[in-house]
Amino acid sequence: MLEATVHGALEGLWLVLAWPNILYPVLGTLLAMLVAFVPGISGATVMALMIPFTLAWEPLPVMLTFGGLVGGATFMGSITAILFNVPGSGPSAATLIDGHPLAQQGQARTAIGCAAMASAGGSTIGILILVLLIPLMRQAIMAFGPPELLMLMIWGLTTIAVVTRGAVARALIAAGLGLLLAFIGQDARTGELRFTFGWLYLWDGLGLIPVVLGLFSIAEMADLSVSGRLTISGKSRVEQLSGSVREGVRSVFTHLGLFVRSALIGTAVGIIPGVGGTVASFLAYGQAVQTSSDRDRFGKGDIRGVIAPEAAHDAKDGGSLVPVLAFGIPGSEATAVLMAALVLHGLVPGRALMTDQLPLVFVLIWSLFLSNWITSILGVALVGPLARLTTLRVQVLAPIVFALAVLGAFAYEQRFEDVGVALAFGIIGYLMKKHAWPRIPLVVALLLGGGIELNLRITAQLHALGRVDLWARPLLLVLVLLVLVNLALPWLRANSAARQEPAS
Amino acid sequence: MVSRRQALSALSAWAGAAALGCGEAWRGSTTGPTCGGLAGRRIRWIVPNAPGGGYDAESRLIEPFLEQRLGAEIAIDNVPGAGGILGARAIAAAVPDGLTLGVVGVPGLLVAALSRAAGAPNPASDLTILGRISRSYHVWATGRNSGLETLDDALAAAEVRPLVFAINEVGSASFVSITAAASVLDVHVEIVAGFGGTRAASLAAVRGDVDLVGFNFDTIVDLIDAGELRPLLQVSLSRIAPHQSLDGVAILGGEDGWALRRTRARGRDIDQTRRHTQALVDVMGAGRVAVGPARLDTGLSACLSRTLHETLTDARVLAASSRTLDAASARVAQDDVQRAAAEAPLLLPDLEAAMRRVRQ
Repeated sequence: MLEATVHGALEGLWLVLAWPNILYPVLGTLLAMLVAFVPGISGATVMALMIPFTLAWEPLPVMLTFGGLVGGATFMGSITAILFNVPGSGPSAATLIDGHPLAQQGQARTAIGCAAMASAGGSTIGILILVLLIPLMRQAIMAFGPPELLMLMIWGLTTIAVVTRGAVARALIAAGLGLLLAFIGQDARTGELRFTFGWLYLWDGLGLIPVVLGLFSIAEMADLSVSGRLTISGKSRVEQLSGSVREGVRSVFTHLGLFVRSALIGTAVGIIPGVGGTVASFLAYGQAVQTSSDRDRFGKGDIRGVIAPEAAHDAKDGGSLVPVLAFGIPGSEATAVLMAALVLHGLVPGRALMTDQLPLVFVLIWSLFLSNWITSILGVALVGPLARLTTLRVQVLAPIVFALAVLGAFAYEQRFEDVGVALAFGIIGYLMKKHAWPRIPLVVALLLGGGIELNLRITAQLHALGRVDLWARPLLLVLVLLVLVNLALPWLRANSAARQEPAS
Repeated sequence: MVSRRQALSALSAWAGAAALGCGEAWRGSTTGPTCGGLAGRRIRWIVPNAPGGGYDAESRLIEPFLEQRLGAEIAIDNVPGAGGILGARAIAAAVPDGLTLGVVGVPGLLVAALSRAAGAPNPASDLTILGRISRSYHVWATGRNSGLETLDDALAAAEVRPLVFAINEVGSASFVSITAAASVLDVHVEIVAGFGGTRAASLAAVRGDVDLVGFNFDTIVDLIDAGELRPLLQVSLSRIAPHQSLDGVAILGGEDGWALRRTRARGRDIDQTRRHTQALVDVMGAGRVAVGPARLDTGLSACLSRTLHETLTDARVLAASSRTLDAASARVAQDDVQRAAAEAPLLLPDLEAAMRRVRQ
């Protein structure tokens, strides 16, 4: 198996780098980058649009192109998150927590440079683990059932306790509100409609993107407009901006342990079908806060708050190919479209593809790898003009960003109701910011609430039917331990600090 | 005697006709500008799920070929949500001018409409059927390590404890198929809903968390080929496909089918079983159909139907498709949908009882 894997990898690499094959992933990447810059328009949309054009293609150019499309979209959403507090996709919402404050402090170049390096490096780790897991793909996916998913999501929820310091009561209330919002819609188990008030729009619940666009982008622009601040960065000339791309890139190596841990989290979450990059980003952010001895700057422009979600977000790409290639199970919308494209071209994901067409599989993997690096390098190359945007006057920029946010909300699922949701949450987000109520707990709870409820009830039902023995699942026990540690750590730290105070 | 002028005139007319005929032949069997003036226009093609799903993939497969035949631009518009109801409603509510068309899944939509789920349009009365794009019958399949080798094993196990199925959501086509088939087989099942799609539910069966899944054969054939799943029952009247994995696999319907076999063995009402089995097979077999709003102009509808059928039977489309589509003309599809709609109420009591059990 090892020999076949190495041979497949080398043959795949040769196929990608050969002329004119290399044009496909490069052009695919550029196309995805261009489209993904618009908030709400995901890489999946680009990929779906490409399918009819590729029907007559051979499998090789299909793999080359779609590998480029998968990798090309992920980084661009982070740029808008950093510059304008507008997340281009769900996972970018974690980046804006510290990315945008950095831009507000005139350090947009540092933030983007850091994000670029973390993205490219994270995807490299994700792809490396994907390759190493090829012989073990089946076992890796089979290890995660509903009980494990439940615990993973609860672990994610407990990051709320970690990332919010001080206003714990407010954080819990915000999280409770997020959970309530997560329960809106049809109960998949019973088919009953909850809190929809007869409105078909709410059948599938609230979309995360419109909520995040409202809570952060619209709310921030509203706050900026009334704050009296002249520009996002507070500086009116580019020369006054501080920080540099080099500083941002170097920061990833300065915090190498954090970077690697975050990439591993992203990869692991990517392997689990149905969890998604947003969970990976927030989990990584939470562990960044949790494992830091000095946590006061998180949320105020801590570079570690950019490294963690960016590394996880892009590492997830490699991980998410594991269930797709092994079982044909898409872990995200992008991989769902990838699968559709593969099937239409007679490439059925699964054991046959992994054994009979391994070089083609590696073509996809190498294209993804190449695409992630192209995206990061181009993103860095554009840092100058992008950073300049933070010196634009608020009166000019705020309406543009507001329009981008509205466009993003509509582009999400082409429904005007999403725009209404974004505007409503814009008001809520503004009021929350004005009165110092944390918004992150609401987003995390909204993101995870539905999955927690579903997996809890599936697990309970399977356990009642005698189908699962919770004590016989070692991975589950490890996750339970992680949850307990997450819950206990703040209390332990507080106790430790209290004991040290009298001594000092 | 024909004058020189008359001869030249006739010759010109024949030459012109021949040129037109050649032109038509060269273009292939296209209906181009005759579909109510749709040539050069933009048609919104609504797909009721997110990009990447089966409906989306099939729509994008036929899109370029349909565009060529209609001479119109097809813009695929994903309108996901509410189990396909949002997309179906968008089609039903559109102006019947031929510029808004789409695809719907009949089984799920029919059941939703009959159970009066939030404004779900009835495909038999609220939409114009233009033709069937595809259909695939369901199979019951179990994980390779489940210990259930045949349907006999499963039914024997069900005497002791309920058979546990995994599905994505209550009210889905899978829910309908499993509930109705279990009813005619007189077997107790427990349905665990909430898995994130066909593949996630199938993985639960592979992992052994549940006994069985019930999905379209085409959707899980790759897992069957890989040896991860084993088919135990074909929810049909006859063999679903000439696929070797279905050799010797039990068939639900038909005079020699397991439904009637179980009914006879248990002394139940044979006619009722026959009717319910037929209803289930007809509802599930209505498949995915291309539709337009109701009250579409008859001539336009006929033209669109003809063009769609030509597209779906085009050798290039068939070659590009990774699986057998099983397309059908508008007439056949309409008959299928009407029959399914007439018989679906037979299934409702069992479905409603199953929903009540799930909600307890």
